[in-house]
Amino acid sequence: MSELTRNIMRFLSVFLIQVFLLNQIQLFGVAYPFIYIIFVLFLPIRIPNWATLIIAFVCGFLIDIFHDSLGLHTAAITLVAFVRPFILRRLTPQYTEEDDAYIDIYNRSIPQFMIYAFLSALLFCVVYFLLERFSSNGLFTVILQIIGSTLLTFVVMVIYRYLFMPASLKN
Amino acid sequence: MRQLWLFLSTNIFFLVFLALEAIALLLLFNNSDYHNNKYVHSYSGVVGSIVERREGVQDYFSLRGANKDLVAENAQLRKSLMLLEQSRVDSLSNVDSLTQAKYELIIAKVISNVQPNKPYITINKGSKDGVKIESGVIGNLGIVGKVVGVSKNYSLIMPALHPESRINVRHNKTGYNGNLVWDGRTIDLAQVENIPRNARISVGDTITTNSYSKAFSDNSLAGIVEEINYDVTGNFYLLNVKLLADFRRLNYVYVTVLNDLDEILELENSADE
Repeated sequence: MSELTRNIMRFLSVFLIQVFLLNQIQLFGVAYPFIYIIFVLFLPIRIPNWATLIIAFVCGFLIDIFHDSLGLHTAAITLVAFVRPFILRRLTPQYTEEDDAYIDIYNRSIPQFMIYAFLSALLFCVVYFLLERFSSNGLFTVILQIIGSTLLTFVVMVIYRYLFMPASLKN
Repeated sequence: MRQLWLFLSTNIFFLVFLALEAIALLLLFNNSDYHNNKYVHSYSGVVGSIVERREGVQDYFSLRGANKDLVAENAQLRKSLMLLEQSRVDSLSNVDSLTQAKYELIIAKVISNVQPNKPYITINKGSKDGVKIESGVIGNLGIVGKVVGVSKNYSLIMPALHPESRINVRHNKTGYNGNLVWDGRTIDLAQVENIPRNARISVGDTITTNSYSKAFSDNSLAGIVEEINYDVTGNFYLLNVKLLADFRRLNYVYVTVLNDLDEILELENSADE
């Protein structure tokens, strides 16, 4: 499977799962799974960063349409896409622009992937829940929501990472 | 010019980010205007059909709860039927026009509940089915809110737990009337104000809608007194009331439309002028 088709498939699956299933789920009223940010996190590293931003923006916008929350997901996911290259650069100091053609999220070590996924999920949840300022919940609930959703999103991402690993890299 | 080009090309990542984030925030803050957000955004065209399909999937998630509610409701209906039967035997045979049905009952399904950023409930019945603005909405267990926006096929409901909501209610035991409002603090706890202090109220009393309300039929259950406080003047109660409707699990609701609603509103508006 080419990289392009893989990414399109990933987008479709993640998007449908998010819209049809996960928008319904809230654990204990505070934890929401935001699985679709996987799509942005797993985008190939070699596409230009500004293109990643635009892809993330469009993705968030589509999610927002179905969530009736125009701008909320878009703002959060765009920020995640903005911070992404900085996290990745930190995690692999030897990373250079030239030889990254074959570096993908999949061949990161497990702890590196986990740090990357966790930081992205945390950033997304912080922005998301701070921006939804119209909920009448207090600060305490917002903090609970951030913690719960970050952990839940993180767990779902790790599961996804191992379920849908490309066959070529499994060994 | 060349310098400008250089600046743009070296900073393109940051500039694109700024532009996109600005657009997103603009969308967010223009759209989530708390007071004007009474449009049914997403229910037209392609998105509408997908949302409807999503409802099909979601139905499975709430089957168990819906069933439980239906059984409870059935029991409630049987009970009132029995009472009615009894009263028919007991009371005088000629029927007073006052007791005849003044309200149309429309069954509707909640297709989108209150969400962060959207403090309204959307249901799948609209003007086509006879829903009107200012109609009341009741759930299986108690009142839910009032209709504030109607499109052809859908309506928006302002829940009783909305800072702008104001519903006429009565303390059932004493018959004193008050207003049901929400201070925005605790989910499920609404407040009843304007009941004078000389009324004898105790925890556990029921609060129902009263006959002043155009939205609800007289005596629809609203909530149960949970805590008794007094307002700043000390002359009136400020009751914390636990609402009976479970807002997190709304599925099917009933819209109560007053048959003469248009006529009454017209009359009241003409008096204002």
